Amino acid sequence: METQLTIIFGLILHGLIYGMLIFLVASGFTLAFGMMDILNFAHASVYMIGAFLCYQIIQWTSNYWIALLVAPVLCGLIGIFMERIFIRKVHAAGHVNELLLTFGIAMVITEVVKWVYGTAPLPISVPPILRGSIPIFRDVTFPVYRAFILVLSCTVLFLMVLILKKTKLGISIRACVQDNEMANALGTNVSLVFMTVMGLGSWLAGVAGVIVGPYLTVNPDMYAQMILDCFVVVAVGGLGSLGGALVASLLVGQIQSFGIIFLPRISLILIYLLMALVFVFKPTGLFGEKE
Amino acid sequence: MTSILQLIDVYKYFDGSKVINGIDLSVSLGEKHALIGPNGAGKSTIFNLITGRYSVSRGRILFKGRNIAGLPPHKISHLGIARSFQIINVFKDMTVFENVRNAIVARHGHSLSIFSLIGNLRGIREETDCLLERIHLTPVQRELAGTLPYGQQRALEIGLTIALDPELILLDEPTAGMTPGETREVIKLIRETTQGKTLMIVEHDMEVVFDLADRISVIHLGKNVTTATPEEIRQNVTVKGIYLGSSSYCPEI
Amino acid sequence: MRRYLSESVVFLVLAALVSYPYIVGKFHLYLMTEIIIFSIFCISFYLLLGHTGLLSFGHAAYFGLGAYCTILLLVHFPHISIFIAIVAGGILGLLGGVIIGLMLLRLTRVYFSLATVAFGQMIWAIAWKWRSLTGGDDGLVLKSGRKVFIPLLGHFELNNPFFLYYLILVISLASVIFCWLFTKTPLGNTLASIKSNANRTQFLGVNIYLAKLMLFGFSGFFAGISGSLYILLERMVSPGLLDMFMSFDVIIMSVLGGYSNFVGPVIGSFIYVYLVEYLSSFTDKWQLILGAIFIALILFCPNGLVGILKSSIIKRSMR
Repeated sequence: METQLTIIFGLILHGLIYGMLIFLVASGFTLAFGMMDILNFAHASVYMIGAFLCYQIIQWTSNYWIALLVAPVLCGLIGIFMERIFIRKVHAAGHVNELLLTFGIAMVITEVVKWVYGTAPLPISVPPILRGSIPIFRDVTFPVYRAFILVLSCTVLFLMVLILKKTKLGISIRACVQDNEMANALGTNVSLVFMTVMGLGSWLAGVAGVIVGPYLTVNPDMYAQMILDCFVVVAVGGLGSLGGALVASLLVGQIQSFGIIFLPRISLILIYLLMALVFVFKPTGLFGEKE
Repeated sequence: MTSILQLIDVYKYFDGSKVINGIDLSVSLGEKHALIGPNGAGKSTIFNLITGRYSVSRGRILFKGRNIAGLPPHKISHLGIARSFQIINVFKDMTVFENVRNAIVARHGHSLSIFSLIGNLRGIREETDCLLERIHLTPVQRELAGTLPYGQQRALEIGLTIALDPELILLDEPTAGMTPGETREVIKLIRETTQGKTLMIVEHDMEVVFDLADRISVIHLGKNVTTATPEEIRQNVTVKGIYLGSSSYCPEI
Repeated sequence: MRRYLSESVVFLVLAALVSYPYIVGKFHLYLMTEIIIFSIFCISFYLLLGHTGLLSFGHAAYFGLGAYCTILLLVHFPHISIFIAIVAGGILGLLGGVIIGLMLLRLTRVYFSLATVAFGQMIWAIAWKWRSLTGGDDGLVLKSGRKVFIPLLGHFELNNPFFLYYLILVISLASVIFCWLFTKTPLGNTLASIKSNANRTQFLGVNIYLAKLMLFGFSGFFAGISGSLYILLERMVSPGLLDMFMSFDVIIMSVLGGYSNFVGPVIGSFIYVYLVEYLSSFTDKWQLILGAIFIALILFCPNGLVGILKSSIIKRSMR
């Protein structure tokens, strides 16, 4: 009886962690669309780049914390670079071209990563401070590193909500999501806000990439897995809705977590079934725009 | 006079705000009925509700006695209601001929047919030519619709609406953005093409309204303030109050 | 004189295609067979993108469905007619198109494209996981030595590259003609009007959902046929035939050749096959180079090479 509870508890936590990771990546993706009408297939590539950068920095410095600090910043810069150089050019030509371009960029990045690092998964060891397990209650222990992921991602989420609701930047961002022409007319530097969102979104994806390293492995398939989860999340939650992305991410995390244990043969397609249901009943996502 | 369309206690909420706030409206068979009112009063929303683009939050919409609230747009089209759009909504990258043909083919119910070639459908070509004549667009039939001057795009917009041979025609600000000369042309066209049919028209241009309408409904804050003949509206103190300050309403006509 | 330009071009191309096996060696014949198969795949994609404006990132799923269906039938029923196996592949593609299409129907363009990635991957995941049926990662192999009976002409070996080429050519030409006729039907016209203005089409009284569903079925059928033909050529199948990269390939071919008319996809397939051949002969990073070329094309000439030709012809005629 006790072990069943602990198993379920463990699954819920695992789903929570995975859900938060997805949310870190999906939030940037959905904001870029809601605000700037940009569909960026390559956003999940930034996540993968973050993971590989983490590996590389650890190779050079043997210090996880430097990686955690530096890699996301680099990812943020990469995100801004992609937007300025590539996406801007193609945005005017319409959604089709934008989707095609970012898809192409994502494919190329995946190929480059395979070229430089090969296709085998690369291990990243958990930093010494975060090794081991802590007791939760009775004789149940929980790995410290996982607790770290949870704490870190929740902190980031909390900061995000704080920034969005309380700071001037946050208000500008929310105004731009609603109606960026109006925000422009009212004096907001929309261009700057765009750049900030792009950079922050990519930074978040980079953070996710770094913290996932020791948790799962680092390999070129990370892109494919994450882009799918991102899609499901924004499709279910609604493009442009952060709240929807959060709910959907947590939902997807739980489904993955429980699915693998209880319905292993169809766990892969459970997510798609969820998507299908949402599409049939609410084509713009649970929290998406109306009609 | 039998009524062909009735809105009974209709409400529409958007995110909590009541855009349509309990409307009762009745349109008689064969009449020309105008909807006027300040901007944002809900006139276009009423059209959207009737044609199924928006769903009704509460209330009923009866067309020929049958409740059509909740039906999808294409089904409502089949029942005999067609609308034009305030912002020109034609097939911009197709030719004028193709635009009209789309509507004619749709009217005959052949839109999903795969057992013939569209060039071979009997009678379609003739009907398309005929309609092009009626809306005076025969000379430009090979032009792309998006390249036409505004007045002609409007004519095409109206043409697509009447091509469906509807019993109830809804025209949403058909003279928006037009010069007085263009407006006169369009009114002539509307009169010609809606003979014998029931017409509902949303308009801001009062000359057009008083020229065409048999009865006028004044919409304000999502409600129907009053429905009356043009003469009665002119004398109505409440209506004058609603329009106070608006230069488009001139009491000295 | 000008009136017969396109007719004479068509005639010349047909003549070249028919006499091709006698002009070139085995290797180029093999490549041309591949090009013809991919052309059908691309044309089925064109019906979605070029004709109706729907960008699908999971089109390889139907190609794969056709391929798996055909090879499974041929492996488990050794005496089945080739033609039944091919048509069955098309039918499975059609079913896949309709079933997935049902879930994609009400999605507007952006959500539609995103969803196609997911559903494409779903089919891949099923092919990959269902080892007992599909052989999983290892795939399935068709043993050679099959004979095909053509009425009035006798028996032929499927291994015979000449025969295979003509068989595939005939089926493909028939497919092209059907697809072309499809665009000229009222449904084809309705789909074009959906691309132009889906909203207005609905207000004309057209059930755009049913129209799209029929399109998905039709497009899926021919994608499946191309998958079946692929099996005849390669005699093996693996989940790689329906993964994201395969879906990307058909997109690359469409962009290379342009996707505003029928000719573009065919030219795109031709360029693609020879480009890959050429690139992979001197580097194993050819996928990377191909991706870079693709990105450059999108940035600088999104109408593909047919588009460049068209605009240079227009420029010349304006002088």
